[in-house]
Amino acid sequence: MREEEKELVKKAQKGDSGAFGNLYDKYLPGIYRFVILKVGHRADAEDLSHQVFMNAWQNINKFEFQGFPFSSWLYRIASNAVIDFWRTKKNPLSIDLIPEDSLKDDSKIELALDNKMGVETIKSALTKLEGDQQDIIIMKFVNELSNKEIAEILNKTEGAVRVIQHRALKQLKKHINFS
Amino acid sequence: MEDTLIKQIRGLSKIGPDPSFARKSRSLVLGFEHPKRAYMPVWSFALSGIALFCLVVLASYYMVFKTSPVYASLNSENINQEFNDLGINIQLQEISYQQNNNQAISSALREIKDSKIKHLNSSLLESEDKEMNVGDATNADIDDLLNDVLN
Repeated sequence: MREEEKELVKKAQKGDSGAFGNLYDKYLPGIYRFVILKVGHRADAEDLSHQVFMNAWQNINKFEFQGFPFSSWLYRIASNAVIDFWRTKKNPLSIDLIPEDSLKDDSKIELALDNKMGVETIKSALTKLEGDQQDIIIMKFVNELSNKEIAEILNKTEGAVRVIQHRALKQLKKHINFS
Repeated sequence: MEDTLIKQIRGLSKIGPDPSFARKSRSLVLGFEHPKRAYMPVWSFALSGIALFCLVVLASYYMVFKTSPVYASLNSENINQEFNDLGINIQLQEISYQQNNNQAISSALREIKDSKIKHLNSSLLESEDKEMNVGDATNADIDDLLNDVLN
C-alpha cells in the first residue's frame, strides 16, 4: 500500500495529474473532516480543503518520503491553513453555534446518537479543547491516524501525543459532565 | 464512560465532503498547471562541454592563423611612415620659428628708426648723459651728509 502511494507521488511529481487525482480521492474526505471540525463552517471548510490540495499539487516536488505517508504532509498543510484561517478571521464562528440541522443537511452527517450524549455535546466539548488537544482527538479518533503519524504531523514525540490525548479525553469528559 | 466517549467521537468520521464540491474542486486543482521540476540531465552537461570546446578551438584558430605575425613596432612600413611624418613635423616647426623671428627683427628695426619712442630718442639720451656726473668719483652732497653723521 505504501509502495503504491510512493509510486503515485513519484508520478505526480513528474506532472501526472491522474496520479495526483488518485491521491486527492483518497485523502480529501479525511482532510475535509479535519478542517470542518476545526473551522465549523461548511463553506470555509470547502475553501480550505481546496486550498490544501491546490498547495499540495503546486508544491509536490518539495515532498520527500521520510517513512511517513503522504497524508502526514497534507495534514501539516491543512493544519497551517486552519491556523492562518483563524488568524485572519475577525469573527470566529464556533462549531457549537452552527445548527445541527445545517451540518446534517450540508455535510450529510449520519451520526449514531447515544442516549446520553448527542452530537451537539461532543462538538461543543471539542471546541473547548486547546488546539493541540483538538488536533489529536480528531486525527486519532475521527480520522484514525496512528500516534506516529500524528507525532510527525504536529512535530511532537509519540509520548507527548499520548499525554495530550489522555488530557484531551479527560477534558472532554469534564466538559460533557458540566453541560 | 471513556469507551462510550470514544465511540461518540468516532461517529464524527461519517462527516464527508459534498460530492459536487469534491468533483468541482478536483477538476480545478488538476486543471492548474503543474510546475515541473527543472531536471538538468547528464547529456546536457556533455553537450555544453562540447560546445565550449569547439568555441575555444575556433578562437585559437583565428588567433593563430588569421592575424599578422609581425609586431606593429617592428613593421617596416609603419616605421617608414612614422619617420616621414617626423621630417614633416620638423620642417613645419622651423618655418614657424623663422616666421616669428622675422616679425621680431622687423618690429625692432621699426622702433629704432622711430625717434618718437621715448627710450630710443637720441636727444633725450644725450641730455641725460650730461646731467649724470659719471666722470666724478665723489659726490659733494654725499660727503656732507657723511660728515654730519660722523660729527
